[in-house]
Amino acid sequence: MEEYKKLSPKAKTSWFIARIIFTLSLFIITITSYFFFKNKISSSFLKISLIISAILLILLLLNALIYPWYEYKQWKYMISEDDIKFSEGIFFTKNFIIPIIRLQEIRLNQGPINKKLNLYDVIISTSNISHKIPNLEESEALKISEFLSKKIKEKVNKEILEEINSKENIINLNETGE
Amino acid sequence: MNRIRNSKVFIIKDALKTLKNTFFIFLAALIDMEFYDLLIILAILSIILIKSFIVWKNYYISILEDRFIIDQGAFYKKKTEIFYDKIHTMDVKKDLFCRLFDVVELKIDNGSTELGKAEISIILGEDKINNFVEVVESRKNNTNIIDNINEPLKDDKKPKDTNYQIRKITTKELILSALLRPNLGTLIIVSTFFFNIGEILETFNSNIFIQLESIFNKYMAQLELWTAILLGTIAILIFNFILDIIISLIRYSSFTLSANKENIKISYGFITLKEYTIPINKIKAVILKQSFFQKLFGYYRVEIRNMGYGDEKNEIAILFPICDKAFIEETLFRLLPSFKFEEKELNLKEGKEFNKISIIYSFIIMLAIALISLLVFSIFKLIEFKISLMIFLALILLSLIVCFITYMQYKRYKLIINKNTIVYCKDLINKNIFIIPTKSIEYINLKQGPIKKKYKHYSLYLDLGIGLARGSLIAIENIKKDFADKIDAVIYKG
Repeated sequence: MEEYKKLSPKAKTSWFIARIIFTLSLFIITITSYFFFKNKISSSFLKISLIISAILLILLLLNALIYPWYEYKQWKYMISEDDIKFSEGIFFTKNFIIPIIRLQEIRLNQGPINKKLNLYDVIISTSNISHKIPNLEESEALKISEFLSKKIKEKVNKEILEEINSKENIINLNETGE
Repeated sequence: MNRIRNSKVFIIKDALKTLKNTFFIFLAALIDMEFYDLLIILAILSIILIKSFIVWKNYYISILEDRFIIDQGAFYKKKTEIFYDKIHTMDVKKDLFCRLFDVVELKIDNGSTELGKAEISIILGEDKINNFVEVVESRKNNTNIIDNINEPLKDDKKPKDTNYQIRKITTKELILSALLRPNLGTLIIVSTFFFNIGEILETFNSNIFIQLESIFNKYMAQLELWTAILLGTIAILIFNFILDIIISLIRYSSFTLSANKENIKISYGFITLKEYTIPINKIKAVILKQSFFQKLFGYYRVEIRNMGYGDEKNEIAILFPICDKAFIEETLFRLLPSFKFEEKELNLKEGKEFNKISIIYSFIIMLAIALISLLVFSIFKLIEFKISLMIFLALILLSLIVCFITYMQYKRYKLIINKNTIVYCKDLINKNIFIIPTKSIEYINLKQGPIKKKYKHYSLYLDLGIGLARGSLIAIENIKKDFADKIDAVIYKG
């Protein structure tokens, strides 16, 4: 598993559909509000509100149409024996490195859009924060979840063994009076 | 199985807390208050008291072999299980309220995010709290010493006090710690007070104060402007120092550091007494801090980062307020061996590269902001041209200062990375040495903006996994990718 991997190509579709739905909902709310407030507030205030809403909608539309492609291009992840690495962001890139030993919980999430596309989000939680590797194919998500669970178990067993050994050493030292 | 319930004082405390949160309702009712308003207030007060009583009545703590269970809620039952070995801090607090009712508040931090503040509060008499702490300690060490938590401990069952006192602060040290650490916040408050002294005195509406003010003004008017400013500054500094000494004397009075093999105990306070029990293995980082004056005299303030200590309002996670290098090397590093490092290693500098371009870039941005503000102010005539020119010059000066500080930060930065520890030193006006065992690091985040991307530089964030409000993130700016990889390799692969 030690190489950077891309998300599922269907991730672009998932992001696109989610963002388009959000933009459309906002568009409907704006139009409804316009007809509701048309005769209730001053025309200048209405004009300013309309301009702001239009700018916002254009930005959201751009976010839905263009951003998923760039986001997909940037998103990559790698799961090795010791850690999970992933990189996200377009203008400001964030690279996370999470040691497997720190993982406390692995969860698979699937929203309605991802259900249609048969995609999963893998949520990995440490004691402090949760991270998400989004839009993975079902087989890949299950493989990751299985691999991480196995790794966590191995690490925990190793830690318990080390603890028992160190306690035994202390007892032996006490018995020999050293 | 042992079960305990909070002292009845809890009802008053909880009711007062609810009252504090709903104070605005009473404030609104007080305006043009009529008889019915009074009835409403009384009804609300009764409801608050009944609610607090129900909360108290349905809150139980059951003590088991390996954990304790909290049962709470009258209508929606909630059960929380806390394993003894997951406890990060136990904090015993005795403030004025507690003293009034002769009780003690115990706060237990288990680091869980599910509980919101990750803290469980228990209010009981001092003896019972001591019993509880001992039970938790003994169960953690698999030695059961108490059969019934509600019964006082018999002498033969009392565990021997294994804590040995490491150091107790002296009055001289307390004063020194206040003197060598000028607080900028206090300085601002004091200076506001100083420059508004006339108005403040007027509010007293007393002849003596008015006379005093006129004498003060007369005296000040006779002085040259610069002499007055100098005298004013000195007065502010003296006032600030005195205030800081008083605050420090009250807050950190009787600061005592004790320890045993597993735990560190910190206790301090004059009005509010506080006592923290922190497991040594839960300490995530140690920070050695030196203000400008402390640096001159070779003193340090030792802080720690862990869960539960330092997350309350106005609380700093201090291990010891003032100490010298000998204390750090001889006592601190013996107490916390995983934080030991050799200072001579700090002279090594690796991985970081002075990013001239980012400094030039920030200067260009500042210059652009200055020019735009000058243009906007001049075109729209919002303020006089003279003033807008002054703002422009001030912004230029500010950007030069920012560039200089960034350069100096680079020049005086030091970093050690080895198999077990990362030591990061920032030394400009104040000096901070962060000592972080690699096992404390929860995860690494490497951030890159457009400029850094071009020059293949990163900002490195080390997260200690204790929540952002508790100072979890430690940032190291402008490092190269290969160095980041080296940190990654050291931390995760050893």
